[in-house]
Amino acid sequence: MENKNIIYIIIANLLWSLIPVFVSELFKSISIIMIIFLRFFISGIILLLIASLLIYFNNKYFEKQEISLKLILTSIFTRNEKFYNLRYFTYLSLLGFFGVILQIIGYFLALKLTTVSFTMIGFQLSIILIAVYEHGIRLEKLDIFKILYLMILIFCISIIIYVKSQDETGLNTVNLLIGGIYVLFFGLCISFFNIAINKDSYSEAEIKLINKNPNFKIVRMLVKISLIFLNGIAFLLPFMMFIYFFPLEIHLYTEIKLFFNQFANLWSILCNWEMIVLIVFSTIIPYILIFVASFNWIPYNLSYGQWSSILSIIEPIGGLFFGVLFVKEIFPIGYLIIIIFLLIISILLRYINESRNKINAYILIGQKQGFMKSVQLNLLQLDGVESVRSLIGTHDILVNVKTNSIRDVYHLINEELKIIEGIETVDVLFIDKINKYKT
Amino acid sequence: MIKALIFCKVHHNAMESVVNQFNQISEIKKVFSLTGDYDILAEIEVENSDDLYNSFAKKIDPIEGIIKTNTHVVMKEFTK
Repeated sequence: MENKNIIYIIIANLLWSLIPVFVSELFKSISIIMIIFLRFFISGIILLLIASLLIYFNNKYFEKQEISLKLILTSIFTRNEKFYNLRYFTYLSLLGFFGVILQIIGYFLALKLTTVSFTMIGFQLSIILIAVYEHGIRLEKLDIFKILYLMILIFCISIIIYVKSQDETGLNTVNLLIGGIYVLFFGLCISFFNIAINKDSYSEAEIKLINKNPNFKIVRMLVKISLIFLNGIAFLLPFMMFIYFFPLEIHLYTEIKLFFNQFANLWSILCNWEMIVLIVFSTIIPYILIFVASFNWIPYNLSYGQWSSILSIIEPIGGLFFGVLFVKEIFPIGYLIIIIFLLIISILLRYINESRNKINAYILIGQKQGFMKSVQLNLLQLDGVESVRSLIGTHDILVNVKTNSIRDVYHLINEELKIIEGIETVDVLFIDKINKYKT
Repeated sequence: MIKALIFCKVHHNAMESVVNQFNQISEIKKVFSLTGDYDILAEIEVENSDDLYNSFAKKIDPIEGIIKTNTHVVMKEFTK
């Protein structure tokens, strides 16, 4: 089952890597802002419709617990404890605007001004930035495998910059420099998105509903991503007005001006087959694949988030390959093979790094009488807790914990778990080896 | 369906042989080597309490190298 879900993640990344192919033709006549607006507005609406249909069919035809639309909507105004205690609505809006819309603006501007291969640097840069964040802020261990894959990524970036600086027929130095700023901006925004998307937290009511009806989880994911897209679009409009009246950046100003000029032709632009392919095959289908993988994920060794992060390097690999193949970008074949080979090696090194440093543990808990339900729900809300089992025996609860470092386990047990009211005893058993795992 | 967790303490040098024998029992779905108060955690899934008794009496109890087992029945599993 895990293999099937890994394949879904790979397909989703390959579909995302085809974005430069689909947009290269659109860029010739359509504003990039218009492409972004239509892509995320239409995708947001369609994903919201799919979520509504799932709620309707679940409530009408399945005997499991009803999914309450009211619960989903009210949860938007609750606070997200993992993200500076901001309201969920603000969290989704920040993710939508900075993590999606500005990220794609940077991505598309870099694609338009430079080349596909040069833009792919942004993905590699974001992996380096996230590693710096994990080491510097979260104090995660920097082992030999992590150092090696980071060095490989830096080496690949250097090769691409070298090749592009030598390409006399293509980019001039000014475009390379301005494009470099867009790539940096795109890399920063994608890093923010990847860090912030993991700060999602479930409310007690949501955890209760997931355990009564697992379908709620997929509905929640669909609503969440559609709100990220739609909130992002809502913030794009005032942002465009600001840049339109205060043209701080000339390329963006030109695109915004073109957007307003083309607004009357919105429908005909939407009916463009490249636009439809971009929305369906590079937005809706990949996100649904990712959600299905996450929904069906069986926590064997690495979590869904870790596999998803490891395989994210497929997008720049695919982008480079499809860019040369379909967009007819000039890139020396020898260098291309070296970069693709090195990036594949970096996936393997990342896998080794993640599997070696992952802390997988069971915690046996004894609880006071009268706290049975509240302790279990409180435990599930903690970051790193994968599952909670209620037991009959010498202990009352077994908690499966997966964290990225021993420091995270220490923090989880001593600063979060032990302070939960009703917990009496805590025994930690670290998993040394998984000898058998049948589902 | 009954799901139970068997925490085991085993003799020195008996770890590998106990794990191998656990791996061959079809009712045991998951086997983990642990560090801490127990050495092995085995998850067993059976249809009813008779099957649980039979698996214990005929397949688990005769395994040499096990010092002590502590079994917990799973009432409910919560995930997110």
